[in-house]
Amino acid sequence: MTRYIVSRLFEAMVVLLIGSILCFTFIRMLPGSPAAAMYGDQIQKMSQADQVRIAENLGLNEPLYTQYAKWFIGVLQGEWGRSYTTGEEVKIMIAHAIEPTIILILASAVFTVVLSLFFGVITGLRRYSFLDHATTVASFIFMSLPSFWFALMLMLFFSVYLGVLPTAGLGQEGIGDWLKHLIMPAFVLGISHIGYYIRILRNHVAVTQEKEFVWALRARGISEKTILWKHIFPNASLPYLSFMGMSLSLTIAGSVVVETLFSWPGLGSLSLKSALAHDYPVLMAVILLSMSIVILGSFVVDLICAWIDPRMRQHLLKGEGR
Amino acid sequence: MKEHVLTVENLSVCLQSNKEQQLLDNVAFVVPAGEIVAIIGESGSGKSITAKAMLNLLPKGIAISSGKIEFLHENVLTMSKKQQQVYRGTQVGFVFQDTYATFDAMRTIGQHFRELFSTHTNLSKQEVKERAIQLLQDMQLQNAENVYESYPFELSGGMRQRVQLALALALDPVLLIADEPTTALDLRIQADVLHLIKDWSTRTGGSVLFITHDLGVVAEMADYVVVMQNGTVIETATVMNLFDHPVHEHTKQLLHHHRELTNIREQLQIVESRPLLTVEHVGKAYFKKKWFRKHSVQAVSDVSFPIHKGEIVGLIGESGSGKSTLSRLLLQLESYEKGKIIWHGSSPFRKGVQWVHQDPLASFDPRWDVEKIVGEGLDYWKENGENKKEKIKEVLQKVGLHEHILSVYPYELSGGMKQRVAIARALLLKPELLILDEPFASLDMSSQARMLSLLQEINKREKTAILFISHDIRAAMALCHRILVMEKGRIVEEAHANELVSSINVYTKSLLSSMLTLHPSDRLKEKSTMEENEYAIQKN
Repeated sequence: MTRYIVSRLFEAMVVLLIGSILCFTFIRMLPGSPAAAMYGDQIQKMSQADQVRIAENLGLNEPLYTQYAKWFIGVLQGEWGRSYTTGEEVKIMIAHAIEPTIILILASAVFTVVLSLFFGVITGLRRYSFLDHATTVASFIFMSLPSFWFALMLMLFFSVYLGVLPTAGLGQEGIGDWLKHLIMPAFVLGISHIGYYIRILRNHVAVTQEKEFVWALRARGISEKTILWKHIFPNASLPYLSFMGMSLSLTIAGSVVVETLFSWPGLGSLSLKSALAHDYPVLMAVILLSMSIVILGSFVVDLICAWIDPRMRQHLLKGEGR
Repeated sequence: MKEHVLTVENLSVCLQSNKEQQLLDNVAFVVPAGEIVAIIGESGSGKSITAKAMLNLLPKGIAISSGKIEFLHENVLTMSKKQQQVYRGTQVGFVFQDTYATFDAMRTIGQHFRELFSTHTNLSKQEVKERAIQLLQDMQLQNAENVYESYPFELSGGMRQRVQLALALALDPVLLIADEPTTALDLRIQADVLHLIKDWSTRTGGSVLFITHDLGVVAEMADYVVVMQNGTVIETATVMNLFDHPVHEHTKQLLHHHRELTNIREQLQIVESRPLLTVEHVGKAYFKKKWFRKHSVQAVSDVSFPIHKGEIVGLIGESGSGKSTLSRLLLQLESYEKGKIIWHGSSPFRKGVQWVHQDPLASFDPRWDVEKIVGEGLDYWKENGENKKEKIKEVLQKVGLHEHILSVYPYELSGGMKQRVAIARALLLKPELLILDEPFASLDMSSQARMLSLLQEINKREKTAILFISHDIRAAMALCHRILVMEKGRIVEEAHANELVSSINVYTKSLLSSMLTLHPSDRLKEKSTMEENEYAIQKN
C-alpha cells in the first residue's frame, strides 16, 4: 500500500512538472502582453525605451527557460511572486480565493450526491416507471442547458422577481446569509452534470439487482432492506465513486463560469481575471492549484474505492499495476 | 408410505408479458422425506425454473399462473413475506451451479455466514464463527478458519461450492435444492460434492431435490427421477425403473445418449503411421515477479508425444494441470523455452491446425452474423471469390446446421449450435488437426452425445486428426483412440482408451474413481462390496 501511495505521489509530481512547463510556455504565446493589459491604450503612446523597461521590470526580456527556472526555484522556496496588476503577493491572493472555491465545490458535491443518491437508487430499483422516465427527461434538460443561461434564469426568478436570494458575493452576516449566497451558485454548478451521476447509479443498481448473488441472498431469506443497503448499494457505488473522481475537473472548469456570473471571489473568477490581464504569476498559481486539486481528488477517490472494494485492495497490495 | 416434504401440483409458470407463453405446464411431483429426487432434462426443459419456483423466487417477468406448492402441508405460494423469509432461510437450502456469481465479492465468507445467522438466529458473533468453521470443516475444507476470513474470489471453484453447501446446510434445513451444483467442476471435486450431499441426506434424514442434465449424476445420487421436456414432466420413476424400463421416447433417447457417452472407444488400427505433429521434450515456465526476486512456475515440463494422421488424441487432467498451456504452445500462441514442436502436415501450419475455444461465445464477435464468423478464415487465406458462400453453406451442413442460420447473430444461438458454428469455422479451412479445448464444458448431456458423434463422423470422413482437451475422462474414453493423462505439467500416462480402465498409475486411478457410475445398480454393488470389506476387516 505504501508503495502504491509513493508511486502515485511521484506520478503526481511528474504531471505537475510537465503541466507547469506546458502552461508556462503556452501562456506566453498568447497574443498581447502584460504591459499592454496593464496600461491599455497608453502603451501605444509610450516610448520604445519605456516599453523595454516595463518588460525588464517584469522579467519578461529574459529567455523563456531562464524565466521558467527562476519561477520554478521561487515556487520550490514557497515564493510565488507578485501579481502584475495589483502588486499583491500571489500566495495571499490564492489563500483568499481558495476557501470560497472549496466551499462552493463541496456544497455542489453535497447537493449532487444527495440528489443523485436519492434519484439514482429509486430509479434503479424501479426502472421504466414514471419517476424513472421523468428523472431521465429532467436530467437531460439540465445536462444540455448551458449553465450560464440557467444561472441567469435563476437570478431573474429568485433575485429579481421574488427577491429572496442575493445575486452576487459571499454572505458576511451570519450563517443564514452565507447559505443564501451559496445556494444558487452551488445549485447551478451541481445540476449541470447531476444527470450523469443519476444515470450511472441507476444503471448499476439495476444491473446489480439482477445479479445471481442477490438471488442467492433472497434464497437465504435475507431481508430486502439488508440486500439493498449492504449488498446492492455498495456494489453499485464503486463506479459512481470513480466517476466522481473523474468529474472533479469538470466541476472546476464549471466553477469558472459560475463564479464569474455570481461574482463569487474564488479561484475560478481569479483565473479568468488573471488570464484576461496576462497576469502570469497569478494564472500559473491558479492552474497548478487546480491541477493539484484534481490529482489529489482522484487519488483520494481511488483510495476510497480500494478501501471499499477488496478486489481492488488486493490489486494494490500486490502492486500489479493499477 | 413416507411423508412428503414437498408436493407440487399442477404448477404452471408463464411470462408476465405474454400469458400464452407457458414455461412450465402442469408440473407435478413429490419429494418424500429423506429421499433424493432428481429432475433431469436438456437445457431449456424448465428444470431450473422449477427449482426457483420452489422458493417462489422467479426471475423478473416470469410468474406462477396456477398450481400449488406444498411444503410440509403448508402452501408456499400463500405464505406472508415474513413466513417466506423463514421458509427460504431455515427450512430449504439452495445450491447453485455458478460458484462465483452467487457470492457478493465485496464481503468475506464470514460476513455471508454472519448475515445468515443474524437474520434467522440470536447467536453471538463468536458463536457464529465457531458454528461456521464447524460447518466448513464438515464440508472437508482444510484451513476452515482461513476460508472464513477469505473473500470469495480468493477461493477456487471447488472450495466455493463447498462453502455454498455449508451456507445452504447451516440452519439444518429439511430440504436441499441443488441446481446443477457440479456441472462447472472437475470430476474429482464433483465426486466429493455429490458425496457430501448424499452424506448429509443419510446423516440428517434431509431430502434433496437435485437438478441435473447428467444421467451419470442421477445414477450416482437419486432415489426418484423426474424427467422434464419443454416445461412438462414426461416421466416419473424410481431410479432403477428409469434405467431398466424407461417408458417415454425422450427418456429412452436420454439413456441412449448416456450410453454413447460412456462407451469406451475401440483401439484404432493406425494404417498410416506418419505423424502429423510431434512434440519433443517441450517445457514452459511462467515467471512471477515478487519485489526483486523472480519466482518461476513450471506449467509444462518435458512433454513428448506424436499425433498421427486421422487420430483422435485425448489430453486429460484436472484444472491447473497444464493442459491449456500445452494447447497454447501447440498452437504457437506462446513460445516454449525447451524442446521442439514439429509440424509434418501438407498445408501451412496456421491453416493446417485449427482451434475451437472452450467458450464459443467468447470467441465470436457479437456484432457479426454466422456467415461472417464462419467465413472469416477464407479472407485471411485470400480464398474469397465466387463460391465463398457455397463453401460456408457446405461446411455448415457438415456440422449439421441449416443454411437459415447464416444471418443469425451469436447470442441467438443455443449452446450446442454455438459449439457447432465454432467447429464449422475451424473446418472451413480443411484443417489436418483440430484442437478442441473442453468442447463439452457448456453443453448438456444430449448435446454432448450429439457432439461426440459429430466429431467421430468428421474424423472418419475428413480424416482430420483431433486433439481433445478435457477434464472429463468419461468423454475422452468414449471419443479418443489414445489418451494422454497430464498432472502438474507432465504427461504421467499414455494409453489406449480400453487399456486406461486397468491403469496402475495412481493419478489415473484417482481420476477413474471419480467417474460417475453408469447404472444405479452399480451403486448398490459398490455399497455391498464396501460393507463386505468392512466386515472382513472387523473379522480379522
